[in-house]
Amino acid sequence: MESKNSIQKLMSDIQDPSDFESPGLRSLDTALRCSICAELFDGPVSLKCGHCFCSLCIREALQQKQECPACREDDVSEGHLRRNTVMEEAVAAWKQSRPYILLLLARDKQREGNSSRPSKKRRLNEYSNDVDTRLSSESEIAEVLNDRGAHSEELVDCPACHKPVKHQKINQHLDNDCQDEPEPGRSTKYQWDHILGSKSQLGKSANKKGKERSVLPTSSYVAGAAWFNRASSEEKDSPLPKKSYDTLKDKTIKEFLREHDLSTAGDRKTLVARHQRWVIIYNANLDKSLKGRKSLNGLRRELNEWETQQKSKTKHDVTDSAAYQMKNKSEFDKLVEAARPKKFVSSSASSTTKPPTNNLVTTPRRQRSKTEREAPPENAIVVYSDEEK
Amino acid sequence: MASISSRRLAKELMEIKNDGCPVGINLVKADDFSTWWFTIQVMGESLYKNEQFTLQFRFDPQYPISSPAVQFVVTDGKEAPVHPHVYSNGHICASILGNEWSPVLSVIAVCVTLQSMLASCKEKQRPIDNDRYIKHAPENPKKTRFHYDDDT
Repeated sequence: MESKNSIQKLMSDIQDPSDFESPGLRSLDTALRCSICAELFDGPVSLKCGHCFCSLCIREALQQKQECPACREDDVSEGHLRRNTVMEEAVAAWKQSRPYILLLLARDKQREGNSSRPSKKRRLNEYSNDVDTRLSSESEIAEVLNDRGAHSEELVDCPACHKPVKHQKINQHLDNDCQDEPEPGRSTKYQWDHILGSKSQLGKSANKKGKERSVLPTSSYVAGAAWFNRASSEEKDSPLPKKSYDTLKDKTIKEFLREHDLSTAGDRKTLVARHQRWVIIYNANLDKSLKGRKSLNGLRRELNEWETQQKSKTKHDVTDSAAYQMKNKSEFDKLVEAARPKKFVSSSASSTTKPPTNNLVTTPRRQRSKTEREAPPENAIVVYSDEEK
Repeated sequence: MASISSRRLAKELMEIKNDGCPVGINLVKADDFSTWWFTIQVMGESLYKNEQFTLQFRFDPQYPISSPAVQFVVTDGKEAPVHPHVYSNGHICASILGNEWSPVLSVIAVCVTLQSMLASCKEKQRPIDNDRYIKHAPENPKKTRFHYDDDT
């Protein structure tokens, strides 16, 4: 559980539409946010009803329930998702201008404050004067905004290989397994390699069609080859199909995982969950524009983080059994209480109360889940009550 | 990086603190992102005039993909409203808390729905299977699979 402090910290650095007082800007900020995660759209996709969500959010939601979360249109599936590129551009532009607009609004407010109460907030005045004199043009302000993370050019030590890397580049560096790739644009050869896919990232899974095409004579038909290869690199980027795991053997699932360099550790349930999650994050990543996409290594790291989170959630190891009993005493008491009359009924075979199994079948308003139906047997509960004493 | 559920809840809390709650609903306590409490009153003419109830929300790390566990508080002298869809242990039989939950819904949206559920009540009574249910009810109402047979 988070402490109160960390909550306050999270609350203070969260951006949301209430950053704006003007209703117009507020609704603009709201309109560019996913209604599932409430963040600015990340890889926006539209369903056929027209509602738009982050690709990852809607894929998670559809895994739970095949309907549009906004309008409950129920004839939807992941196959219906279409990239909303215009929305993506709008979000990118808004992300860029949001801090600038906030700065302008803050300055406006200060100016108002200045004229009415000149003595107050001296430090802020100084700051705004400073801004006034130093920043004459918009472009300069934009520059300041871009440099606001002043340490972006600073060198930091890579936590993996300990080489000094620019702060700005550290994530990219880590994503590339500490191998600094040449900047695209620096070498034409690199660009061609990239287009031709000679550093095939998908390895074996690259389909045959693409391979055939890439043997086209590149020297004489440069333009044509580039065209074909763009087509094939897009094919390579096609989303992973969903699998019906029930029909697959463990071995096959492991093969799927190996194809993407994923761990094959764990039981069947873990393997299936891992592959399912991988398909979701992989496909969601493809719904982003090329430059916004994460590297496969980045995705693998995300998958690992997700798995650790899942594990910490499901595992409830009882380390201190006495403390556990104290903590859950009320629950135990309730169980004991629930068990007693039942025991009584079953022994005396009273006719006024139906036996519990009958109850369950005739219950009109609710059905109990499977685990409950295998009702805690009396003896199990007796054990609890013994432990209590 | 905080989890998606914490960030989403932080945003909801921010909105509540900036814009306030709808009439009749008040935030009691939200010190973390696992459990929140609200008081809820029905405004205007209704069977629950001058009554105040306390709602408890519990969130898991899958929120908002998975629904929050919502129930009325029935400890410390507080009571659940007498309503055909509310069990005396505070559990609520409402479809939006179960199979009709949608991740675009929010804590406030749930409060407002429950408020209107109470407001439209015609007769104060407990669910017909109340005694039977509370005898076997799981601690977490999300573990009950309710059957929703009333569309009012």
